[in-house]
Amino acid sequence: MEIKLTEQGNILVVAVTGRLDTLSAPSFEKMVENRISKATNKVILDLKDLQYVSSAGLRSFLVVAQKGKALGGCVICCSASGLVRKVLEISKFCQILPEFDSLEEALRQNRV
Amino acid sequence: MFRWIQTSINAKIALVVLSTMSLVLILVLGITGVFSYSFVKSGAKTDILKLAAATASRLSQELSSVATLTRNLAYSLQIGTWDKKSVNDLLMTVVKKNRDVYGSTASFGPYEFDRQLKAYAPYFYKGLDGITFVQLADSYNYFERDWFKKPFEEKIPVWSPPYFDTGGGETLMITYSCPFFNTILNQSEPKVRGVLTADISLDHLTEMVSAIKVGDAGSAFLISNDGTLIVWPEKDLVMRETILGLAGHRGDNKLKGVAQKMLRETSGFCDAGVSLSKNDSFLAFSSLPTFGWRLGLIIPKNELFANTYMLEKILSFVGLGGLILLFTLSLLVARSISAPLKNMTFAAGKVGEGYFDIDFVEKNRLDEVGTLARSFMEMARALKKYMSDLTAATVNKERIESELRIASDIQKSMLPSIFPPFPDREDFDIYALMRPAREIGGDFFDFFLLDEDHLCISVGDVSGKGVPAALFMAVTKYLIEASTGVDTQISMSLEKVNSLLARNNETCTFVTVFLGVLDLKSGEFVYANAGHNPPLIWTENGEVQLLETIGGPLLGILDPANFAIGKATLVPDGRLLVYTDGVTEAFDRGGNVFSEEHLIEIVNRNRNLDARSIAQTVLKEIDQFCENVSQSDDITIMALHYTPNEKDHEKSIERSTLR
Repeated sequence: MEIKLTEQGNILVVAVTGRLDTLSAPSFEKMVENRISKATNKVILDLKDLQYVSSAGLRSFLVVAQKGKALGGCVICCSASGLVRKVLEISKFCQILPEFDSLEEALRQNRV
Repeated sequence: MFRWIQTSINAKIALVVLSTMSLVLILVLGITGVFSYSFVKSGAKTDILKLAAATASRLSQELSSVATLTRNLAYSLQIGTWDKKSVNDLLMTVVKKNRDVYGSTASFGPYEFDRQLKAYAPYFYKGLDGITFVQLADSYNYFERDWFKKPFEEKIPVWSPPYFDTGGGETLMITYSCPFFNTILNQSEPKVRGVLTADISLDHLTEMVSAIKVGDAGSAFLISNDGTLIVWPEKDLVMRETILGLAGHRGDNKLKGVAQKMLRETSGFCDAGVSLSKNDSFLAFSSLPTFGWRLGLIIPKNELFANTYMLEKILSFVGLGGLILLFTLSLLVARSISAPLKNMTFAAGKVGEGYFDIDFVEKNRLDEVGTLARSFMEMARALKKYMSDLTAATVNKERIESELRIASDIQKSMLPSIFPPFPDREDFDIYALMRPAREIGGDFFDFFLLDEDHLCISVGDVSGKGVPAALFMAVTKYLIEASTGVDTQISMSLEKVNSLLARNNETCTFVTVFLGVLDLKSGEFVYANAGHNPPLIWTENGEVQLLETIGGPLLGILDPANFAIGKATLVPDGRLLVYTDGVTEAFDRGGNVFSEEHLIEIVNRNRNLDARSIAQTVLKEIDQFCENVSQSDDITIMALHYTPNEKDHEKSIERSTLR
């Protein structure tokens, strides 16, 4: 797993590549949590290159989402595909983690 | 010995020091010896040559003084008138007053002293009883003697070679003979009247030569120009032997070389070895002016090199002393290193046996040994701590492991484990297995009869693994069991369970659950899905396909949450396969997932097997697919085989249709 963090104003864009499973989820959680703050409380999880997410990965999405909410912001995701999209769909995760088709759309939504 | 050197630092250092210093000492001694030897030798050569020349010249001078005296006397005989008495007085006085003069004669030519007397030669010499008189004319015909004839005829003074004066001085001597002339006859060529002589005995000459001081143990000798021994240590050889002859007799080539050199050269220096004296010696020689004789000086080498030898001796003693001192010190230094090393070796053994409390007295030393001692003690301390930590950690680990084992057993006991679970039911067969990725897992399955005709099944997957997941799983399983009932809609059951789980769920743990109830009479299957993988179902024509997806939120996150209800029908001899994502998302070495498609394909191929066989075949396929890659997620597979009694089934269908 690789994580690329970029900040656009008060929005933190987290691009996750590879597999997010039991092994990698804790470090993902830690890295994102460290970057969320009152000033940067909006997070977009860019899942374009995420190939697999396990239940541990979902849980870390959840932890990040709750943290964002607690700081008065929100956490959304975008560009999920394949297995990841399926997992999100089955689990109705969109109720917790709003999903957008592309990063541009997600950014637009967030700015409003 | 060799082993001692190989295995002991002491020996190595001592050996190196000893051999190096010995070499240095030998070199120093050798170089000093060679240099001081050649230095002394070249100095000695110059000095002794000078001494030889000076001595030869002095000896010659002494002899010349006798000659001068003789000439003066001869002259005085030419003037005035001399009778027997005055001649005798003159001669006696000469012999008496001159230490060097052994004897003296005034030998007159035929009829020169007295016209009546043909021969007249009064001779005085230092006899055994004082000055002795001899009339040579009575003893022998002195006109024919060399000492008379040559000066008388040639009118010049001469030195005679050494000879034995039989009938005269009766001893070995040399004689200076000077003619005296008749000056009264006023002739153009004066007529020789007689010969005046002065003898020098060889004994006296020997004394003179012996008086020459050549160091402490040196000696001198004298040979004539034909090599005849004149003054020689062995008295009986004097005048009887030449030096070359002596060399011949003795077969002494060294002496022969020395002799040839002495006769050839007027002065020189050479190594005479032991040919001239008992001691190894050098020889310096110089010729006597006038005589052409050779004066030889013999210098024993040991005297010459006494200082060198002494220097060498002192150097040797100092060197040897230094060597012993150095050897002792190097042994001490080596021991001061090797002794602690021995201690440490011993201590290392002790440490190996588990005795870590080590103290070295060397720890206060400032050198490398001190550093080593401190490091060693530090290491022992660190080891001790590590060992106790390790022991504690091991105990802890064992405790945790044993707890985990127990937890694992408890978890296993929570899941149905006896198959077939309902042996008296022929209308269905059910089999399920759960294999956790670790000791305990977050997956679960359950099935139970709500009443005679309704079988409730559930499969769940808690997020995460291990103990937290297992705890959550246990709660979920029992909540589901408690929330389901014949009269309760399964969607309601899930909503209730969700509410209970979501309460105080700070860790954001969630669980996906597939919950279904099968009407065993009609085959009607009612189900709800909380974010779980869709199960596989056998269709009417025997194909295997995914159960129609009706998604729902995960349990434990959102409260309240709503769940939809799905309905399907299990045909007689139809099967249902419920599983967790540990199946479809098993990975092989290359990172490829097992996938839903692959699962469907495998199940299709084995669709006619019984419940147990299907579940186990799928598990086997997963293991084959993963090879030796360790299982990343818990795997749960549940297979339900519906085999209703045909009559009952039909009745039931009719009833439901009527309704």
